[in-house]
Amino acid sequence: MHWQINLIGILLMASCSNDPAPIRYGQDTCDYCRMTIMDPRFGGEIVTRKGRVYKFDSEECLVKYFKSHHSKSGDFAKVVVNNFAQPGQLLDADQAVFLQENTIRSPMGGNTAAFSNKAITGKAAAENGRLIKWNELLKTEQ
Amino acid sequence: MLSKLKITACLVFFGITTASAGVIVVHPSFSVSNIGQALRLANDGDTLLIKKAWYRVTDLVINKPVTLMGENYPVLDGEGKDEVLMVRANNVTIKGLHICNTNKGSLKNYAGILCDGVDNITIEHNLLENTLFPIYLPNTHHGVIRSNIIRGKSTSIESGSGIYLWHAGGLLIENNTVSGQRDGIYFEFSNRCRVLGNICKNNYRYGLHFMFSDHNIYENNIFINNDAGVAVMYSKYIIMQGNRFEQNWGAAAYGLLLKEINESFISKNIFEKNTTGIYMESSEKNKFTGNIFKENGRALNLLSDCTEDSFYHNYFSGNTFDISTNGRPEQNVFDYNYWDKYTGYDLNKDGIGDIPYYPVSLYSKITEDIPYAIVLLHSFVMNLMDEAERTVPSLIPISVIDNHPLIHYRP
Repeated sequence: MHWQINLIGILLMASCSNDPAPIRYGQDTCDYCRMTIMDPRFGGEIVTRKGRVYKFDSEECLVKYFKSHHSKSGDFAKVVVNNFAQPGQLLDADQAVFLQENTIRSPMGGNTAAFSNKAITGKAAAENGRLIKWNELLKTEQ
Repeated sequence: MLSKLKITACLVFFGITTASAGVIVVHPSFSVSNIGQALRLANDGDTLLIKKAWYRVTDLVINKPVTLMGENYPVLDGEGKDEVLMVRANNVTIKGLHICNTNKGSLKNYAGILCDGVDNITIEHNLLENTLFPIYLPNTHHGVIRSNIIRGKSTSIESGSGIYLWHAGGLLIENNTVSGQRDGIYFEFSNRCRVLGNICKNNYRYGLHFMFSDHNIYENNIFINNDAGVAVMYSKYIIMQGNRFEQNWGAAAYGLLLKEINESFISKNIFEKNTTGIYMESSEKNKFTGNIFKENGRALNLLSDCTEDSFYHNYFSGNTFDISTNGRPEQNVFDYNYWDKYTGYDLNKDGIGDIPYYPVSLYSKITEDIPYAIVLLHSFVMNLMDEAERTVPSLIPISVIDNHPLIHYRP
C-alpha cells in the first residue's frame, strides 16, 4: 500500500516539474509570433510554476511575451534561452549575457543572441556590439 | 538621309561596345585554366565563358562588372569550405553555372552566390545544390533572379533560405524552383520587389516568408507541401494574386499565415487541401476577393483581433470548417461569397440566397475551445446542434455573417 502512495506522490511531483522541455525544431511553433521554430541558436522558453512551457523562436519574441504578460510574471518559474555558441543548450536567462550586434541575424530582426559568458561572445562584441544582462534586455525597445 | 545617319550611328555604337567587351574562355586545359585567373585578366564589361568542367571555387570575389557565363553547366564546387561566389561590384551577371557545396556551419550565412551591397545584378539559369544559403542578397538593389533551380540536401536545422533578401529592394524574382531549404524565398526588411511564377515545394519551413517588408507583389507562384506554407508577417501593402497554396498539412501548418498584415490585397488565389487555408492574426484592412478555398480542414481561421477586413466573392467548398475563430471578430465584412454548406433558398431567383449565412458553425466554435471534440465530426448530434444554432444563433459570433450568399459561383 505504502509503495503505491509513494508512487502516486512521485508521479504528481513529476507532473509539476518546472524543467524546460526540449524544443522540437521544425515542429514546435513560437507562442508569440506563431512561426515554426527552426534555429537552435536563438529563442528559449518560459516555464510557469504549474509546469506549462511556452516556447519562442527568438529572444525578441520571448521578451515581448514576457512584457505583455507582466502581470503574470509571478507565475513564471523559469526563463531559459538558447546558447548561440552551443546551439540547443538552454541557459538560465538570469545568468546569460545578451549580445546585440548587426551581423547576428536573429529570426525577428532584433540582432540579439545569448551566450553563457562574456569571453565567448568574442570579436563581434568588442567591435560594435552591445552586451547586456537579462534585466536590461527587458527594458530595451524590441 | 536622317535614317542613314541613324544607322551609321547605331553601327558605330555597336562597333564600340563589341570591341570593348571581350570574351575570355575558361577551361582547365586552356591557357586560362580557372575563373580567378580569368577575372584578373578581365576588363569591365567582359564575358567569362566558362566551359563545362569541374572547378574548385571558394570565396571567389567578383569585383568588376563582368558576365560569368557557363556552357553546359560547369560545376563550381565549394567543397564545403566557405562560400562560393561573392559579388562585390555592380552590373554583374551570373548565368548557366552549377554551384554546389558551401560550408554548412552555423557561424555565418554561407552563400552559394552572395551579392553584398551591390546594384543591377542578374542571376539566371543557374543550378544551386547543397548550399546553405544558395542566393543571399543583403543590401542589394535592382536586378533579376530568374529561372534558377535550387535544391537543398540537408536536414532541417542545417538549412538556410533559398533566396534570402535582407534590406534589399527593387528585385524581380521570377520562375525559380526552390526545394529542400528552410524558407524557399525569404524577405527581411526588403521592399518593392516582385515575386512571379516561382515554384516552392518541400521546404522545411515556409515556401515564401515576408518579415517587415512592405510594398511587395507576389503573383502566380505555386507553394506545395512546404512544412508550414507561406508566412506574411509584420508587413503592409502586399499584393498576393493568383497563387496556389496546396498540401500544407500539420498541426502548425497553414496555406497562408498572416500576422500583423495591413492594407493588403489577396485575390484569385487557390487554397486546396491545407490543414488551415488562411490563418489571420492582428491584421487590418485587408481585401480578399475571388479566392478559392477547397477541401481544407479550416478554410479560414480568423482571430478576434482582426478588424476591417473584407471578403467578397470568394468560393468555399468541401472544407470541414469554412471559418473558425477564437472569439467575436468585429467589423469584418463578408458579402456575396459562395458557401457549399448554405442550405437556404432563392425564391426570387436572383442568384442570391434569401436568408443570411453564418459561416462559423457551433461545432467549429466547440472544437476551438475543446480540440478533442473533433472526434464528434459528422456525428448526428453535432449536425443537429449546428442546424439548431444556425436557425436561432445564440452562441456563434453573429458579426460573422454573409447577407448575400451566392447560389452559383462564376469565377
